[in-house]
Amino acid sequence: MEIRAKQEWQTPELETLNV
Amino acid sequence: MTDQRYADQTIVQKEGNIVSDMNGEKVMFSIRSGKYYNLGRVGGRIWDLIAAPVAVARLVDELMKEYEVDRATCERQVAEFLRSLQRESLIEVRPS
Repeated sequence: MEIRAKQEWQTPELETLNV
Repeated sequence: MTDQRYADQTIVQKEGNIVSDMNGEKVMFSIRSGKYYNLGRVGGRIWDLIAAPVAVARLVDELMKEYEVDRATCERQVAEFLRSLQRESLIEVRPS
Protein backbone atom coordinates (compact mmCIF):
# COMPACT_ATOMS: atom_id res chain seq x y z
CA MET A 1 0.00 0.00 0.00
CA GLU A 2 1.37 3.40 -0.95
CA ILE A 3 1.79 5.79 1.98
CA ARG A 4 1.97 9.42 0.90
CA ALA A 5 3.54 12.03 3.15
CA LYS A 6 1.18 14.76 4.21
CA GLN A 7 1.83 18.25 2.92
CA GLU A 8 2.49 21.29 5.06
CA TRP A 9 -0.68 23.16 5.96
CA GLN A 10 -0.93 26.85 5.13
CA THR A 11 -3.88 28.98 6.16
CA PRO A 12 -6.09 29.25 3.07
CA GLU A 13 -6.67 32.88 2.15
CA LEU A 14 -8.45 34.59 -0.72
CA GLU A 15 -6.30 37.44 -1.95
CA THR A 16 -7.79 40.00 -4.32
CA LEU A 17 -5.19 41.02 -6.88
CA ASN A 18 -4.80 44.58 -8.06
CA VAL A 19 -4.07 43.95 -11.71
CA MET B 1 -16.95 20.82 15.87
CA THR B 2 -17.41 22.14 12.34
CA ASP B 3 -18.18 25.86 12.17
CA GLN B 4 -21.92 26.14 12.82
CA ARG B 5 -22.58 28.27 9.76
CA TYR B 6 -21.32 25.52 7.48
CA ALA B 7 -21.84 22.45 9.68
CA ASP B 8 -24.70 21.04 7.62
CA GLN B 9 -23.95 22.73 4.33
CA THR B 10 -22.85 21.55 0.94
CA ILE B 11 -20.51 23.77 -1.05
CA VAL B 12 -19.93 23.98 -4.78
CA GLN B 13 -18.10 26.35 -7.11
CA LYS B 14 -20.15 28.91 -8.98
CA GLU B 15 -19.61 28.94 -12.72
CA GLY B 16 -18.08 31.83 -14.58
CA ASN B 17 -14.48 31.79 -13.37
CA ILE B 18 -11.28 31.23 -15.31
CA VAL B 19 -8.66 29.44 -13.22
CA SER B 20 -4.95 29.00 -13.82
CA ASP B 21 -2.06 27.51 -11.88
CA MET B 22 0.90 29.83 -11.32
CA ASN B 23 3.90 28.41 -9.48
CA GLY B 24 1.71 26.01 -7.55
CA GLU B 25 -0.78 28.68 -6.55
CA LYS B 26 -4.19 28.99 -8.11
CA VAL B 27 -5.11 32.32 -9.68
CA MET B 28 -8.66 33.03 -10.77
CA PHE B 29 -10.48 35.62 -12.86
CA SER B 30 -14.16 36.19 -12.14
CA ILE B 31 -15.97 37.01 -15.37
CA ARG B 32 -18.92 38.29 -13.33
CA SER B 33 -17.02 40.82 -11.22
CA GLY B 34 -13.93 41.37 -13.36
CA LYS B 35 -11.74 40.72 -10.32
CA TYR B 36 -8.59 38.61 -10.10
CA TYR B 37 -7.92 36.44 -7.06
CA ASN B 38 -5.05 34.39 -5.71
CA LEU B 39 -6.29 31.35 -3.80
CA GLY B 40 -2.83 30.13 -2.82
CA ARG B 41 -1.88 26.47 -2.54
CA VAL B 42 -4.31 25.16 0.06
CA GLY B 43 -7.07 27.46 -1.17
CA GLY B 44 -6.48 26.14 -4.67
CA ARG B 45 -6.82 22.57 -3.43
CA ILE B 46 -10.08 23.47 -1.69
CA TRP B 47 -11.29 25.02 -4.95
CA ASP B 48 -10.55 21.75 -6.76
CA LEU B 49 -12.39 19.74 -4.11
CA ILE B 50 -15.55 21.84 -4.47
CA ALA B 51 -15.76 21.44 -8.25
CA ALA B 52 -18.66 19.10 -7.47
CA PRO B 53 -20.99 19.61 -4.50
CA VAL B 54 -19.34 18.40 -1.30
CA ALA B 55 -20.36 18.50 2.35
CA VAL B 56 -18.09 20.70 4.44
CA ALA B 57 -17.41 17.88 6.90
CA ARG B 58 -16.24 15.68 4.04
CA LEU B 59 -14.12 18.51 2.66
CA VAL B 60 -12.37 18.83 6.03
CA ASP B 61 -11.86 15.05 6.21
CA GLU B 62 -10.20 15.07 2.79
CA LEU B 63 -7.91 17.99 3.66
CA MET B 64 -6.85 16.28 6.89
CA LYS B 65 -5.78 13.25 4.86
CA GLU B 66 -3.61 15.42 2.64
CA TYR B 67 -2.21 18.02 5.06
CA GLU B 68 -0.55 18.12 8.46
CA VAL B 69 -3.27 19.93 10.38
CA ASP B 70 -5.47 19.21 13.38
CA ARG B 71 -9.23 19.07 12.95
CA ALA B 72 -10.07 22.19 14.97
CA THR B 73 -7.63 24.35 13.02
CA CYS B 74 -8.72 22.89 9.70
CA GLU B 75 -12.42 23.41 10.39
CA ARG B 76 -11.95 26.97 11.62
CA GLN B 77 -9.70 28.08 8.77
CA VAL B 78 -11.70 26.33 6.06
CA ALA B 79 -14.89 27.98 7.36
CA GLU B 80 -13.21 31.39 7.25
CA PHE B 81 -11.96 30.72 3.72
CA LEU B 82 -15.43 29.63 2.61
CA ARG B 83 -16.86 32.82 4.10
CA SER B 84 -14.46 34.88 2.01
CA LEU B 85 -15.42 32.92 -1.13
CA GLN B 86 -19.10 33.43 -0.34
CA ARG B 87 -18.62 37.17 0.19
CA GLU B 88 -17.21 37.35 -3.34
CA SER B 89 -20.09 35.21 -4.69
CA LEU B 90 -17.65 32.54 -5.89
CA ILE B 91 -19.43 29.59 -4.27
CA GLU B 92 -22.94 28.33 -3.80
CA VAL B 93 -23.94 27.10 -0.34
CA ARG B 94 -26.76 24.57 -0.10
CA PRO B 95 -28.27 22.63 2.78
CA SER B 96 -26.90 19.08 2.86
